[in-house]
Amino acid sequence: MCRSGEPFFLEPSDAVVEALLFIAVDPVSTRELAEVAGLSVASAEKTLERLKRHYSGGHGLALLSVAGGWQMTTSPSVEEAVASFRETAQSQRVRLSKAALESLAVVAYDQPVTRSEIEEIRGVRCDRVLDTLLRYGLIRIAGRKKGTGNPLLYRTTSRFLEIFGLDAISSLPRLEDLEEVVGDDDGPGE
Amino acid sequence: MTRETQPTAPESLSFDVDFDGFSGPLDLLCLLVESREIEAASVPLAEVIHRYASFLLRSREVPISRAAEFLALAARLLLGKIRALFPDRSCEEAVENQEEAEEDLLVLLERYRPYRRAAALLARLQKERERRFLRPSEEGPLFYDLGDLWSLSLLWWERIAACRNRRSETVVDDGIGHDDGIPEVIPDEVQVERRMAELALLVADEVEEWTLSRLIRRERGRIDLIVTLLALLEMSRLGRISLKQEEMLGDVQIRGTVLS
Repeated sequence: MCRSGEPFFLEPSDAVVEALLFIAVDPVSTRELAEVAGLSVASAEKTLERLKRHYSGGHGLALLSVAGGWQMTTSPSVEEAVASFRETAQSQRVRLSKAALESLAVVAYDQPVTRSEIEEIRGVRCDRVLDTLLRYGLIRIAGRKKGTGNPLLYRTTSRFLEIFGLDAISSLPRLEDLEEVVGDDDGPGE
Repeated sequence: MTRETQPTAPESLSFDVDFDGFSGPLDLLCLLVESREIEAASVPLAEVIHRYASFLLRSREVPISRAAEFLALAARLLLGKIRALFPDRSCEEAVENQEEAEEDLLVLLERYRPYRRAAALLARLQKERERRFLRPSEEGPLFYDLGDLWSLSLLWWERIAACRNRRSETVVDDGIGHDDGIPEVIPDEVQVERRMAELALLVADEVEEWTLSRLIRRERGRIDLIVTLLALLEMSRLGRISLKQEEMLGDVQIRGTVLS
């Protein structure tokens, strides 16, 4: 039953896509789902829409469009119970300091970017913060910048998109529009 | 114009200055100039000095301390005048630099502010995202993708380190490995005790004397030699053998105490 009280039926091909999403650990692209389920991309998109509507009707699971693919997650409505189950919260949550979030924001918006460019914006050294972000897999080395010293360039990864629930880097609002989106927020807090 | 007064006593002789805007003693003029109550540039210093020189010539009995005092006052006036005529550039530059630094700081803050907001947005997105949980991966997350040489090299070095650790552990456990630069096994108590038992049989069975050089020749490696030496020392300490060296750097004779 969906939330409105009317029965909601899935089509047979939806079951395959649902099963694939159930077993997948990482986000699965629509194209891959379509290939495995023997559907066209357009059909797979329709299936995903149906599944999304299905799971939005008071289920413990939900469908999330993230990092260019689809992922089955638990629903935010059951957050508390799942977080306390076998230390799930501790194992899946990434603790990021204010400095790490700020450096990550610079990489996200200015990528590819060098360490010195990040430091110029933040006004403090960032080498250790960048090491932490590399270790978490949130940024990656994307080559070297041509010029004096050929410094390393950094980019965000697909894991970055997963951690922040973004479908693509373009999902972020423009830097100029942030004041409207975030308001006069005094940073990410500790 | 300046004028000088000449009282009766020479020690109370005073030199007063008089020009447009001031009339009084020279030291007062100095104080007023230094406290900027009188514009230093308006003081006719050359004329003051000229008048004072005339005053000195007329009153030949002015003590040297008074003359020195005048010179000091005149120097202070001169300094005041110089400062008035040539304003201190370093102070102005410092003020300018400070203003520039403040402007730079404002520019930096203005540039930094959007990223700070972006960080706030990321914190908000992460918080929202963390309300959902995923099926845990059995293998654990591997955070590298194509082109991520840093993570790949990190993984590579971790594998090598783990491999090295396993190898060294194996060597210690098996008690082998004199080659390939791997550290040799340190003799443990069990090995020494075993060697002590062997040596006890040797010194008990043989009628003839055993020497250290003869024992050493039997050993195949450094480890065996060390074990043998430790065993001999331990047996000697326990009084089971006697060790005797007739001459310096000579051979050591080993005798079982039971036989002797």
